[in-house]
Amino acid sequence: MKIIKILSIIFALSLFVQSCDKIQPPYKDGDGIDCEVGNQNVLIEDYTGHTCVNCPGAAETAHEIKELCEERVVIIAVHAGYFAEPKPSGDFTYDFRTEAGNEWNNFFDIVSNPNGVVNRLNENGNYVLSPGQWTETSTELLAQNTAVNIEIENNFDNNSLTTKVTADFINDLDGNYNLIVCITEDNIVKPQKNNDITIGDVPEIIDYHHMHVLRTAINGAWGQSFISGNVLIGESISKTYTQSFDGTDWVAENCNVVAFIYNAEDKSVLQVKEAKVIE
Amino acid sequence: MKKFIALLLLAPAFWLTAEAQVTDYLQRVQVHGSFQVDGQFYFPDEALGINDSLINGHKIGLNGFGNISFSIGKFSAGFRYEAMLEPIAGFDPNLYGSGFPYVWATYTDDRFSITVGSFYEQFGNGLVLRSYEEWALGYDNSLNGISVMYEPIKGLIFTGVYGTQRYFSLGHEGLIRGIDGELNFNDMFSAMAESKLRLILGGSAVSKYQADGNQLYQLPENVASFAGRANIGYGKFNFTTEYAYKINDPSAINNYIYKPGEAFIASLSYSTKGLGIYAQFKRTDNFSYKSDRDVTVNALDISYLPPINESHTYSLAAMYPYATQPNGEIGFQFQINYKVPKKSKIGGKYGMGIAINYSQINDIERQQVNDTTYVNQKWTLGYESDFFKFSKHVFYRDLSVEIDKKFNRKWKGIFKYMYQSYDIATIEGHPGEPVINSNIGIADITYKFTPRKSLRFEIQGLWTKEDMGNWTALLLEYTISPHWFFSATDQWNYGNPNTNERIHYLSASFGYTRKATRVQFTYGRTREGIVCVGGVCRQVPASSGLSFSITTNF
Repeated sequence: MKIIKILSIIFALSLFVQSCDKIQPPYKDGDGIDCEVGNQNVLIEDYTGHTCVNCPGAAETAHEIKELCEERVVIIAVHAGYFAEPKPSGDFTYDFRTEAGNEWNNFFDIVSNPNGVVNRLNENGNYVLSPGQWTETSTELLAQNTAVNIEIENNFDNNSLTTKVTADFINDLDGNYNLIVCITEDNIVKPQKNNDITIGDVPEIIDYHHMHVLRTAINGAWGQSFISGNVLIGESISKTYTQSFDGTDWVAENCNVVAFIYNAEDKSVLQVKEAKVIE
Repeated sequence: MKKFIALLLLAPAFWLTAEAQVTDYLQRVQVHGSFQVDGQFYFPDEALGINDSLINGHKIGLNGFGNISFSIGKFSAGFRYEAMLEPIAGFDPNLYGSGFPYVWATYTDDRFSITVGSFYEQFGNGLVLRSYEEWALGYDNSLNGISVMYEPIKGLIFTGVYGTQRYFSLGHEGLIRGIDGELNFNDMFSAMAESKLRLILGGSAVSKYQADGNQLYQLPENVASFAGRANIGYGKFNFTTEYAYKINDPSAINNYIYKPGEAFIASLSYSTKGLGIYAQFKRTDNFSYKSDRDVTVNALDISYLPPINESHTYSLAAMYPYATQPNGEIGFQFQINYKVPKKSKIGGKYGMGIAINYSQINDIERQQVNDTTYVNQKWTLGYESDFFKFSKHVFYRDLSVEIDKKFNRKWKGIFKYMYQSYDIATIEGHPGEPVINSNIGIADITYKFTPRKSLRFEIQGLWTKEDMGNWTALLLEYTISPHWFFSATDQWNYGNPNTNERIHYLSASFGYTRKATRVQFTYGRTREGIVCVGGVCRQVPASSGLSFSITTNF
């Protein structure tokens, strides 16, 4: 019996000797990732709000991920929910919200900010990932391959955008997929609440540069049917949309078209691409 | 053939013996259980900004559970069934679903106990491990795995745990392992059994594992924490203390800094007939400890940081409750309870109770680790901090004086005054909003018509120039014990700077209790607010409608 006791204590102690990972600076992982591996692009939907103090930190996390593989990471800042509500007076009167953003916010059950959705993947029905989880999910996805690549051709004329989205199939694909085409805008200078001194003034950054702000989903919050059934390697499918900028305060030079194809059943993103409205 | 006939003849005897054994077993089985169902029907209420589109078809919220346990001799087992279809507004939507989140079996011998399945456990004050369930918050961080308790000699107890934590109705992979030892000198040494000096020493070690999938930064996969504690009593004095240390644990809560965490708590009490004095000190520094570093919601906590401020039950006194700040706080609390003797000049015929409490919680002092790093900068060591230094930033301050007086056989009352200072910017995450300084007065008077029938009248006032301004609250409650109660309440925000929001929150309730079963119905408005239990809080949205609660146990 005594031997068992001693062995138990040794076992418990050995568990704890192995249970301490003390990390020494520098904390940055030097390895990074190889952006040449895989063709799966990543869509980070950053659900945010101008009165959310932790949201500038989350936006920075998304930006760090984008810096890893620039054009292979697409960000949409979706202003929706309580923290996106405009105030009747003061610094936060601007309404960033959109119909599509509100609908996605409800569908994905975003109850607090900042939170996000990466390639609309879900685990047991839960789509929401906290900003700390974006890096791991995104880097895993970037190393993967998908059956399709997207090309976007934009033409902006007479304050109107014409965008042609083409899907080139590099593998066979079967199933039902929709296409959503959105407009996002960078560098909207408006106030933002903040609690991170490394990003800007606390508790409010008066001239915060809001990036990747969702302006509209051109073809509706859930897009339109794009693939139905079998598509073979080498085939291409194109769709063209127009969007007038009349009556909006959007600055075309700062705007982007984001197009993504998603599985109509589980909403997971098959592929995503972004292109400037005016190159 | 003869053998076969003999067996046939003996079969009834075997059958009777087996039946007797089964009957005997069944008679020894004990079954216990408890059930609760809370429901709410939501109605549109324009004054509260609740319309059909906001309700959006979610007209009913329902939270229910059943806890059943069986025991026979040294063996016991049980389960908990939960149904949240869908959760009541204000509870995390991830609770949606139904099933058996808590299933367990335990074998207990004289000095040994083993549990497999789900279990709750706490080491010391919970600084390095506390798994528990709080229904009012929708909080449950139970462990699922194996728990072993062993008492090799009287007074010395070891506890070991190994498992994963519950994460709402979703699964979770974060792994926790822990060991605790506690030595009770008065139990171990017969010479100290009757001693005035009571001494208990304890120590714990807990470690969590979470894989590092981050390609940008190095993250510790195994994060260990250690704690030592003492409980020393001598006569009417009692002193308890615990110190805990945690190695680098960058997380979403601490802004991914690598600074080790510390927590310290100490309390001293003196108790004699008619007088109780209690003093407490607490300091925590970067001590959020969750089994998932990326989770920020109320879930997956391994550590529990006990609150050191008074817990208030009156509605306006509890309007601005303090939520423990895991990233760092330093504070103290004093409490004096004095019973003015009966038949004294002030105490009168029945005596009088006086309770005074003061608590204050500040931020800890933080300095830069070097000239090029901001305090609490992401992916750095974060900051340095002097252990006993208070920052000038006060999170919370609360002074209360309560008098409890019985006037005669018919009348008794509780009278309370409070001053509260509440840093809403930090506690509720509303930066830029001013600190709420409020004065609160409460009178709670009960008149007994007969020994079984009484009427309670409560009037409260909260006066502040900040936030939503002044409030008043009234309550009338008629009780026919032991079965019935009827009540009506109104909370009125008469001092709201926005005249359109000077809303009455009227509601009426009744309840019926019979043996161990209680049923309660409430109709009316609920104001937006925060509910806290043990320093852990959840937000409650404003609502209007009918709610009910049914509880029973056997």
